[in-house]
Amino acid sequence: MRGLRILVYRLGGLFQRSRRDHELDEEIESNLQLQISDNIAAGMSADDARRQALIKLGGIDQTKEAYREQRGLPLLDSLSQDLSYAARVLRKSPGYTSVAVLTLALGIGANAAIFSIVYGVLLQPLPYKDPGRLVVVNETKKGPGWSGFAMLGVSPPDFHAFRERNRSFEKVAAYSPGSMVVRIGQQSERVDSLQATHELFSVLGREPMLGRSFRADEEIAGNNHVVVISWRLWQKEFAGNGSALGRTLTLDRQMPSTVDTEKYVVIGIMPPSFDFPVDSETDLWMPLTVSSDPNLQGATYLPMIGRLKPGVSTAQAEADLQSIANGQKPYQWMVVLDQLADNVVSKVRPSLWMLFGAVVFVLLIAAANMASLALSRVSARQKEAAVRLALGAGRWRLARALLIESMLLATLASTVGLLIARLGMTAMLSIAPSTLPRLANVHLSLPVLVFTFLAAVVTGLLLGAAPAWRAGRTDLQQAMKEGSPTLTGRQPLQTAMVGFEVVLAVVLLVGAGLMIRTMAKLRSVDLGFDPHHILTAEILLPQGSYSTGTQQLEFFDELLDRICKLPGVVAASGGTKFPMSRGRMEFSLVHYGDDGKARQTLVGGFSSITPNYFRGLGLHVKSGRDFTDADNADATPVGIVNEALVRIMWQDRNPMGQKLPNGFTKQAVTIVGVAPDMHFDGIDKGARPELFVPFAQKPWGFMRLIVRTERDPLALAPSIGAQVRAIDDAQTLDKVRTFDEVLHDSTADRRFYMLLLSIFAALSLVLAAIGVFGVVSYAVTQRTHEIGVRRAFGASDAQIMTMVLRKGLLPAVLGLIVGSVGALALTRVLRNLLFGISSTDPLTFAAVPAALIIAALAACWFPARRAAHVDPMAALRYE
Amino acid sequence: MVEKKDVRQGTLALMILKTLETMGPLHAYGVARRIEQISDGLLEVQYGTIYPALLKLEQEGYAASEWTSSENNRRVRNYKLTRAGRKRIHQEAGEWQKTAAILERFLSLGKQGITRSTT
Repeated sequence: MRGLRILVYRLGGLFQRSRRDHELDEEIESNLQLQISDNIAAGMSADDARRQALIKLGGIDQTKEAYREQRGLPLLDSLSQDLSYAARVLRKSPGYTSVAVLTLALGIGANAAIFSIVYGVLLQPLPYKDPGRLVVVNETKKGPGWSGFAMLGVSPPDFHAFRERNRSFEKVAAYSPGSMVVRIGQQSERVDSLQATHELFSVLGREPMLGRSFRADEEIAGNNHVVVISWRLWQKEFAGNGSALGRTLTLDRQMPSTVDTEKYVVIGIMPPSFDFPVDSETDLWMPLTVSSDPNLQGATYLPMIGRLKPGVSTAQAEADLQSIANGQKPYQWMVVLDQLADNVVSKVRPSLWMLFGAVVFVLLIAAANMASLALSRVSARQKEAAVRLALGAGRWRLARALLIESMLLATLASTVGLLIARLGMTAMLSIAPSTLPRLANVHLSLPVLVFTFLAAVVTGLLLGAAPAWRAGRTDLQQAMKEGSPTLTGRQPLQTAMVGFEVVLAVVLLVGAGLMIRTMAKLRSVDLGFDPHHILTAEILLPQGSYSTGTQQLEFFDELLDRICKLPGVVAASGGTKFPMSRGRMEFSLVHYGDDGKARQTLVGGFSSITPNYFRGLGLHVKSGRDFTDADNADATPVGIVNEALVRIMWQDRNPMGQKLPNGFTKQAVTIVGVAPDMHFDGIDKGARPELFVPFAQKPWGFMRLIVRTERDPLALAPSIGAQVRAIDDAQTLDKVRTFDEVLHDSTADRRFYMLLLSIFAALSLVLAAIGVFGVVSYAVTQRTHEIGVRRAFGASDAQIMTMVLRKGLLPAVLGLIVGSVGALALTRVLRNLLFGISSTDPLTFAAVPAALIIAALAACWFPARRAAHVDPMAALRYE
Repeated sequence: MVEKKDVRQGTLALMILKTLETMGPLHAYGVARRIEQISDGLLEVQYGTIYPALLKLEQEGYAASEWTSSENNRRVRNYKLTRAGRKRIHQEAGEWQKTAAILERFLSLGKQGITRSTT
């Protein structure tokens, strides 16, 4: 109770300060008069009486200060005082303030921007109920030859077994992504779609906001013409009208290869925040009928997701499913479970945390830089501190004032920093590679703002700690002595801070250097052909109007014919993939040794190509023959393999005439030629075994075009598009890009990390150089007198400059040594991003110290020259 | 020569309250003066320290103040004891006496110990 009363009184004390101050003055004065009267009565002279009374009273200002602290809430009261004092100090030195705010704002802003990505991509939970319990299930095999095996899902018979017999999941679902053409009236539009077993929505824990999700019986063929649509499609096609429920959509199914143009009844509409698969822009969800054909047991293509029962771990569930898989025939797959969230972001997680670490380094450097600057200012303000101490300020109060000053700086900086973050984020998103998932989630959300605020507070503390500690130890006597730089020019704390900056800068520089070297190595990879003047594009024919291979082949034959005749076109060819395009078609076969025993399983890429595919690119088959127009549907099925496949399958033996079974052509193909190894999976990936067959013998409703041109390839894009429409005006070209762009995109993720790391490294180098400059420059100012004396005694310019240079190079060299060791340890996190070099690349580790020493020398140069030009007379007179 | 002691923290409040109890309403100077007199010059009171102490007592509700006119028509701030203040004197005085008694006994014991060891 008493505590409350005191609080109320003290809160009251915060107001009407001047009246209360006045009352205290009056009280002291009246009491002083009483005492003076007493003193006079005791026989003192009037002057003496007053003097004695004042002595007895003690320090009036200290009394008033103590009284004020007792009166209000001292913390709050003095806090606002300190704040306004700090604001005054900062206003008084606009140069220092703007440099400090800008430097810190860059650091804080960069942190906020990177954190917004880290949060949006890695930390923010997926938009499903209790996402930690969602796992994806894959089947694979271990052992040599299986390393390239893509984990696409589980086999249909295994899915049925898992669904019926598992004991670890509340529910499991399988799904299959594809795309559909939606026809409404005359309009048709291709959208992403997903077929899924009826459990999908309850596995995810999300239900339609209008209507319902699938019933179990809707998986049965005949009942399955129902569709749940996205909020986006609902807005676009139905203008958000509730009457959309029960309406029919005409959908033209593109994949898999069944003719299926049908009407679907809209049964549900998902809320706007819903998206599955993660990061897709899926608009349609339809029931999936999982085949019960036992022959599919070897095909693990079916994506599967499940919701774990509460308390069941991923490992337990994995063991559960594995025991089921072990009982399956004829194949026993290895079951691999991953958390859905990990599955989505695990590839980028190390790189993003690496970026975050780098940007924290930048902030630390900025803070250390400003702290060392603030230290110098504290030394220069020692007399001010001494005066405040003499006037009754406590040492803690003095230290706190400096902390508040740095907090104020950090707060200002974080405000500017948020602006920088906003701009930086937009810039980063515009260059972010498509391999970075969940980018739609990246914005300045509340957690990002909280993080920014915390970063500002921590920065303020880091920034203010050293100066505050120094100020708290101000020696009254020394500081008050007239014009007394007691400092000998030695500033161990500042030197240590600059050394620390150099350490961090070295790590960042090495990281950036390694990435720059990686990009150079990637650029110098020999593709085997000239990548310029090539246009690429994709065409996907609707299954409805092009249902047979003959129809598909006819369309593409005519198209390539027409394109070849266009002026400016050198060659036109096509296939299901081209270098760097990646491809999802894979075949696997067991490789038998001479003894007839299975030696290893081979997983390779499969593609159908037109006859002039290699020539169009500028490549030639290494041996055997290329495909010709004669390799048509009626001729013997033939194939071309690449050198990598020959190395594994046949080593030194002649591959010509060998039969190669694969899952795509009905009969095994006869090998007629060997193609050079090419980079299909990315420029950084070595060649995998590849099998090519003539497009005419295995046509698809899908082709990637490769058009070699005389001049600017993009200039031809409109006329090629026109040829497509001339054959069938319902068809369009997709993803029209030059091959240069394809190359560019294939290195986009590394370029992204390289760019950001380089920016951070450059920033850190500049900041560290400024740090060196600050320390040296300050030392020269403080030691002007000493330098004058030395010169008077005959020290040469060179000697003086050496003295100054040593001052700056000491922290640089020490920081360099520690930093290089740190870089050796830390750049290992980059290993997955590097290409063609090791994380201890000698060139990088030689170039970084050189760059750093040059920067440090440049930073020392101006102060050193100033020192060399000190006029001894002027310096001594100044004393 | 006996060295003058600064007022020990915490004891000042009790001295002020006791002074107000015996003297009735009094101004800050009077309180300080009285404390000095009672201590027979053993305590050095800087009169300035009395103001924050009085304010604290007022905030805690042990004392109250009012402005009155003195003999020569000067406005003076007088402090007086409240009921809560009176209660606190009783409480604390008892505790002090107990503590002092214990300490006294303790210290005299120590002296005997020293004498013994020297003989």
